[in-house]
Amino acid sequence: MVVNKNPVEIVAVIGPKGGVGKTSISANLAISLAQLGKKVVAIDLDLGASNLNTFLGIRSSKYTLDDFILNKVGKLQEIVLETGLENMGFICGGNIPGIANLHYSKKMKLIRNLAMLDYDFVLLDLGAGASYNVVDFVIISQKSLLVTTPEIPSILNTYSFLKTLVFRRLTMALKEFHNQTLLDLLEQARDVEKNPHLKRMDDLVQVIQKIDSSASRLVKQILLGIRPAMILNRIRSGKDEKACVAIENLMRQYLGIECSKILHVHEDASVGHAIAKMKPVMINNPGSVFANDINEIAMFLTG
Amino acid sequence: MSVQVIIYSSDRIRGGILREILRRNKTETLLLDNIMDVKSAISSHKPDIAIFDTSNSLKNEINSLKHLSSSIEECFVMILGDALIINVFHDGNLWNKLFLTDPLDPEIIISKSREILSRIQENRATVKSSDHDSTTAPVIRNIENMEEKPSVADEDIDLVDHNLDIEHLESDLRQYLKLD
Amino acid sequence: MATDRTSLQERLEALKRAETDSGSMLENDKQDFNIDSKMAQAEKTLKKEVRSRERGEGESAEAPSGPVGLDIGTSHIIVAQNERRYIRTTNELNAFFTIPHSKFARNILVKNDVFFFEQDDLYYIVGYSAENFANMFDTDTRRSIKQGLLCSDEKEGLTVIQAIILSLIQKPKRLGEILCFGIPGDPIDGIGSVTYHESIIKMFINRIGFTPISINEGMAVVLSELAEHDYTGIGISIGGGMCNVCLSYLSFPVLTYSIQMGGDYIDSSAGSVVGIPATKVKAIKEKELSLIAKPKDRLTTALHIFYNELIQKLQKSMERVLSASNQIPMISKPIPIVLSGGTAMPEGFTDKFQKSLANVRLPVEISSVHLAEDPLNTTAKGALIMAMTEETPE
Repeated sequence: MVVNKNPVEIVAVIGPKGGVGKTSISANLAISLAQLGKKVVAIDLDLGASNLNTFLGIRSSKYTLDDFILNKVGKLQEIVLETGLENMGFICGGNIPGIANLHYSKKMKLIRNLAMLDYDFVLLDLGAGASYNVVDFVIISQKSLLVTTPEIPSILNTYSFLKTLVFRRLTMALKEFHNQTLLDLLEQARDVEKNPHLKRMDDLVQVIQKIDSSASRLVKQILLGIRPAMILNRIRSGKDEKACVAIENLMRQYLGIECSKILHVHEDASVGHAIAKMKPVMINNPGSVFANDINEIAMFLTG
Repeated sequence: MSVQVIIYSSDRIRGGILREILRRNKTETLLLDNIMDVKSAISSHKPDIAIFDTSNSLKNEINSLKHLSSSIEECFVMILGDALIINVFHDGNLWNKLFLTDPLDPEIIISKSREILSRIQENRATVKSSDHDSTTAPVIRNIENMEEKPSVADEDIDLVDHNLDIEHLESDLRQYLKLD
Repeated sequence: MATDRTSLQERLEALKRAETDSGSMLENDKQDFNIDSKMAQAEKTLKKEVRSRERGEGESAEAPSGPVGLDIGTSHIIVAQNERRYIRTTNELNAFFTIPHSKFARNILVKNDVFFFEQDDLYYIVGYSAENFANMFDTDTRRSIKQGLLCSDEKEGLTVIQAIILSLIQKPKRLGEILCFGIPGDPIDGIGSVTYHESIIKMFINRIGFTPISINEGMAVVLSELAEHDYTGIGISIGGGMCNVCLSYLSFPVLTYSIQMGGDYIDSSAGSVVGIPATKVKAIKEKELSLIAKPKDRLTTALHIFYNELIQKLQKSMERVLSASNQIPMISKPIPIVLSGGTAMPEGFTDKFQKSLANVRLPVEISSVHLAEDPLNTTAKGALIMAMTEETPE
């Protein structure tokens, strides 16, 4: 076995609104990275509603995440399945009832094991919504890819997700200061209707500065570190492409964060054809528009 | 609640499974085993999806289904069965067709139905919010598995309002998020 | 009329429709269509304890007070009824023995409360009484059912079955009460017509005032044991004459079949090797056979060998039938196998079955193999559940 010298890069793929094509992108992105010669493992962490295997054309699996969560195996590496593709492994999602509300200790065990996997990229296909289980996996990831479509409901969900992410991360950091006033302030800032004076991140940082300047420095530092990439999926016109600009403006003003990159995936019938055949697009139609867009995202990840 | 999916199957077990999985997915269905009933149910119930399961069907039933599926414009059609049989459905208008070969895969059927229904709903919402005529028959566009792009004439109703400019969108978002 | 291909879900749906359609009915009529209570009752019944017993000598038949489940097996006939706190099953041996007509013999039979009837100058001694007589004469009882189906060699077979059923259950108080009985799947390797078997039994049940419906025996096992798995899995009933297999998906019997090999084959094969009657082998097998312990004598060695043969043939048939089927839907999760029937009862059978499963390749992944809670009564219980969800005709 080739020893992997570089530390593993964990990439979270999130589609805050269900049905935006997140899993299709995850599956094909993992293949694209593998085709670029990177060692990749795709993990279905859409807990309770996993179906990444379908998009990869895997109909049944010997092991699932349940085996790891229920301690049937000791290490995550043991449940990595072969995909038949060079450089690429896959961990099938679990189906234990209640898995979507993964217990803290189980979550931590999973997170520790993710970092120990011997791959260049660990691609996490996360569930919809903005539960802490989803958000926490984004926080521990080196890169996160937010998948949205140009429709308003999808954009709104993406913004809500980012807001939860930012406040969760800030709460974690400010807890270290053992200052209840700071935590209360964060709580108030979440409710923009009741506390309009705290609705912009700059306003909030200023108030924190007055309470504890070192805390405000930390907040700024954390905000600089939250730089998700946005994938705008199912684009059908130049006008669609602009949808992300609107959300970027809101992110900057109200959440104090920037997108690291906006990536485009165009509407392409080859996706539906591939799903119907239970084959990934990268295999079924590697020359398609969709495949090209996915390759662009893979290039972005490999830097 | 109106019928969202009409299922035709002359195989009681497969038809029952299809109805049951959709019922569990909170989808209102009507299961029929007679093509004449299917025809009248499509015109009376105006479903979003018609599922034609060709398993166990006779040759003339398959011909009738083929004829029916090519004439349906108002809803999405999923055709299930043996690859050799559903191959005969590949003629003509394919933009609203999805072909799923055996073995019957309840998860794929559910996931595709869910996706189609949600996009139809979003489409309706968009059409409504754009002050289009809300009584327009359900229009299905841009379902991922389209084999042909819709004709230019079809592009008047779309999933996305193309008139949205960034400022407009941003202002909508602020309003929704109560940031104003 | 419902057949074994009708699923529990379909029945519940039909009841729901009946409930909806009954919008214009009078309140009293509506009570008969109360789907919620029927569903709740059936689900509640599944959780009840099963209290089983042999029909006592000279005991008269029970009067049914609701739907009835019936298992007409090669070796036993079992009736299941829903009581307030438990499911009550009563069984009788499905066997008979004939002796020539005489005044003396008749007196003996009457005096000893022996279950018999008279036909063509013969006394037909039926049920457990027949077994006692056979043991007395060191011979085998005769069977009305062979390899799971009505036996063409025994012209009075149906009369014997009718006599046993009527000794277990009286005519219903309410004409048309539902009685659901188990039928085998089509044999893949043998002869005999399930359609004929099913139709003849239906005609008789109908004649005594019930509305008969049938359920595949393997499906009855699924209904009885796999509620927690959404009625998805493989139910196998391993009886005296055959093994019945049903793969159910969400309570739909997508695949059913049988092989004509069961406990009787083991008994007669082991008996012929060792030179003792099959009836005696059966008694020893039921009393003391363990498939975990090493065989201690020639008979147990033979029993081990023929048990292994049965398991291998059954599993090989599963491999062949399931692999060749295009009816099985994609099932994303591994599914359980539940075993039932008297032949599956010896200690160690389930383990042996599970271990041997590694030698075949099934197109579905198996999560577990377990023995039904009460293997002798599983089919009757499943049939009762089915009967309870059926709409009683007006």
